[in-house]
Amino acid sequence: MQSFLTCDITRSKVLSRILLNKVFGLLTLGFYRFWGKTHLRRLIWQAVGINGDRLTYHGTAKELFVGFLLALLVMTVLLGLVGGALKFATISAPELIGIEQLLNIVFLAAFWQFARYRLWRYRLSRTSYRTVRFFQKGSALAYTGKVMLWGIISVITLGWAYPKMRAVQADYQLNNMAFGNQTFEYRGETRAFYSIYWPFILFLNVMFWGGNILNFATDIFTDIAAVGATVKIDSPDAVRYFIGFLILMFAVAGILYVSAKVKEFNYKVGQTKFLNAHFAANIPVLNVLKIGSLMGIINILFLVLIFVLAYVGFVGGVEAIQVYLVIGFIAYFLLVDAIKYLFLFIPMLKLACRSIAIDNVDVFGEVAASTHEAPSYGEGIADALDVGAF
Amino acid sequence: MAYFTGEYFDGKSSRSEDADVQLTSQSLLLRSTNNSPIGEWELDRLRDEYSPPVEGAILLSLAADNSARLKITDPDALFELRTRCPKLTQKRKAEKREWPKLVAAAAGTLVVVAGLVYYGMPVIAGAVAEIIPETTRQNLGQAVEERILMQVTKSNKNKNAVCSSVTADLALSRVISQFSNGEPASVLVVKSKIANAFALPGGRIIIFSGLIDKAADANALVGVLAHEFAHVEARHPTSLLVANLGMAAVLSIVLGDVTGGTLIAGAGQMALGASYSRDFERAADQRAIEFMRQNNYDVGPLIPLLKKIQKSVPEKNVLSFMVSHPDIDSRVETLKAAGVTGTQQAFTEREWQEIKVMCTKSV
Repeated sequence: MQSFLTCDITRSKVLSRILLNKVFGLLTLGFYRFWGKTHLRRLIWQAVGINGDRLTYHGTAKELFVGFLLALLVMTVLLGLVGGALKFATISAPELIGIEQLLNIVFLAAFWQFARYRLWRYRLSRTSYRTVRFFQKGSALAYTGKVMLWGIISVITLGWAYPKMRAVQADYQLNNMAFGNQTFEYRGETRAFYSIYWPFILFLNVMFWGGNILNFATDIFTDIAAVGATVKIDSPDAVRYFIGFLILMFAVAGILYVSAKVKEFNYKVGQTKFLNAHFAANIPVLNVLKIGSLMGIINILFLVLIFVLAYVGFVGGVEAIQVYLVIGFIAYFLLVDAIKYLFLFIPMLKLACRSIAIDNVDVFGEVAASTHEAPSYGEGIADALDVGAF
Repeated sequence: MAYFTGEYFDGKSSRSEDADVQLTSQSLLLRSTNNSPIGEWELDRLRDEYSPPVEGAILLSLAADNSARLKITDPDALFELRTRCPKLTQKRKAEKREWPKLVAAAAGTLVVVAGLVYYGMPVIAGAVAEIIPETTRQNLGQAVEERILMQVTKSNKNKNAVCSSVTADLALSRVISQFSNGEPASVLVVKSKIANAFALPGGRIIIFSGLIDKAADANALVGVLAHEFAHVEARHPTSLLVANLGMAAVLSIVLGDVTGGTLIAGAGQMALGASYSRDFERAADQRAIEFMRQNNYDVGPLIPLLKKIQKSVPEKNVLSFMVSHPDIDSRVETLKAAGVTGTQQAFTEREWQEIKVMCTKSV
C-alpha cells in the first residue's frame, strides 16, 4: 500500500477567492455565486493530484446557472402543487395538521437526498484525471427511494436502522461510481456499519429513555420548565449544573458521532476496489477531533469578539451599538466561510490525502474514456436547497 | 525554433505517451517518439487548462471540443510558451457567444416566476384564505393578538394593556354587528399612544387608544371600525399571511441562502407584501364607505382623523413603496368623493364619552 494523493492547496488564494465571492455576491444580490463557486472549485480540484497528475474541474458557471433556472421553475411549481395539495387536505380535515407537517418534512428530506445524488453526478462528470472523466451512474430517484425507506425506519426505531441506511447509501453510491469506462466496486457489509455506529445510537437511546423514565418518575423536566417560566431562581447552581450536564452530553454525542463518521469513511474506502487495485484509508479519529475542536474554538472566539464589540457599543450608547453590530455582522458574513475553509475543509482534505492509500496506482493510467452521458446542466435543486454549499 | 518534450494525452484514455515538440513561429509540431506525426497546434489557439495557472506546468489544449492535452514541465519551454502564446490564459470565444441565450433564459424564467408570485400568489392566497377553516383562523389570530398585546404591555411598563368598560365594549360590539350580519368579529381596545388599528385573522380587530384620542367625532372611529371590518370580511389578514409565507419561500429559492440572501429576501417580501396590502387598503376603504352608507352613518369625520394621523407621521417616506397604506391624500380624496353618506351618530353621547375614557379608567 502506498499513499497516492497529494494536496498542495494555497490558503491565501482560497481566502482571497472566498472574500471576492462574498463581496461580488453581495453586490449582485447573490447571483455571482455560480461564478464564484466555479472559480473556487477549479482551485480546489486542481490542488488535488493522483500520482502526480492534477484533477481538472470542467464545470462552468453557465451550467450551474441554467441548472438553477430549471430548478427554480420545477420547485416553484412542485412546491406550489405539493404545498397546496397538503394545505387543502388539512383544510378539509383539520385533524390531519400533524400529518401534513410530517409529510412536508418527508417531502423536503426526499428532495434533499435527490438533490445530493444529482450533485455528485454533476461534480463527478465535471472532474477529469489525465483527460478521462469520472461519472456517477444510477438513478437519483432510486437512491432517494432507498434512503427514504431506511431513513423512515431509522426514525421509527430510534436510530437502530440508521447503520442499515448508511450501508444501503454506500452500496448504491459507490457501486455506481465510475472512472472512464470502469466502475468502482464496493463490497461492504451492514454488520460493519452496526459495529461502527452502535456506541452513538446506544448513547442517544440511553439519553432518550433515561430522560423519559426520569421525567416519568419525578416530573423533573416539567418542574424545570415551570421554574424557568415563573420564578426567579434564588440558587442558580442547580440550573448551572443542569446546563453543564447538557453541554457535556452534547459533547459526548458529538465525539461519538464524529468518530463513527471517520470510521465509516475508513471502512468504505477499505471495501472499495478499482480494477485490481484495493484502497485503504486510515484517518485517525483524534486528528479529526483536533481539527473540529480548533474550528469550534475559533468560531467561539469570533462570537465573543462580536459580543465584546456589541458590549463596547452598549457602553457608548445606542447608535454606537448599531454601528458596532453592523461591523460585527459584516465581518461575520465575510469571514464565516473563510474560517470554515481554512480551518476545517482544507485541513480535512489534506488529512484525507495523507491517509488514503492504494496497492496499485498504475490502474488509473490505463483507463479508456467513457461515452457515458454526462448531465448537461447541474446542481440547480441542490443550489436552491443549499445542499453541500461549496 | 526550439525543441522540447512533453506528455501527450489523446483524450481517448488516461494513457499518455512522450511527445517531441517543435516550437515554430506559428505553431507547435507534435511527434511521437517513434517520429510519427501527432499534429500541428497553432499557438494562438492554445489554452492552459490549469486555471488559475500553476507553477511548473502547463496543460495545453487546442479546442473546446478536443479533449487531447499536452503537458509541459520543461522550465525553458514553459517560459517560451508563456511569452509566445498570446491567449494562453484567455477564455475561448465559443463560451462568450452563449451569453445572449443565457440572459434570455434567465429573463424568461424570472418573468414566469415573478408572474406566478405577483399575479398567482394573491389569487392562491385569497383562495386558501377562503377555505382555511374558522378554527384555524381563530388560532392564528389569537397567536398574533397575544404577541401584539405582549409588546404593548412591555412598552406600557408592564401595566395591563387591555382597556375595558362594559358600556364601551357593548357599544363597540353593537356597531360591529351592524356591519357583520352575523359574521363573528371582536374588537379589542389597547392602551397605546400610537394612533393605529389592525384586523387580524379570525375576525379580530385591535384599536390602539391613541386613535380614539385623536378622533374628534364618534363617527370617525366608526369609519375606522368599518374599514377594519371590511378587511375581516374579505379575509385580507389571512390572505396576506399566506401570501407572505409563499413569497418568502419563492424568494429564498431565487436568492439562495448562502450570501445573505435571506436578508434581501426579507426586504423583497416586505416590498411585495406592501404592494398587495395597498390594494387591500383601497378595497377596504371602498367597502367601508358602503357599510357607512347602509347604516346611515357619515364617513366624513374620518377625513380630519386621517389628516391628524398624517401630521403625526413623518412626511413622505423614502421607502414609500414599502409603506402599506396608500397615500393618505389619495384616501382622503376617495372619502371626499363619497360625499355625505349618512345623518345618524352610531354611538350615543354617553357611549362615546365612555369609549373616550375607557383606557384611563381601566388601566
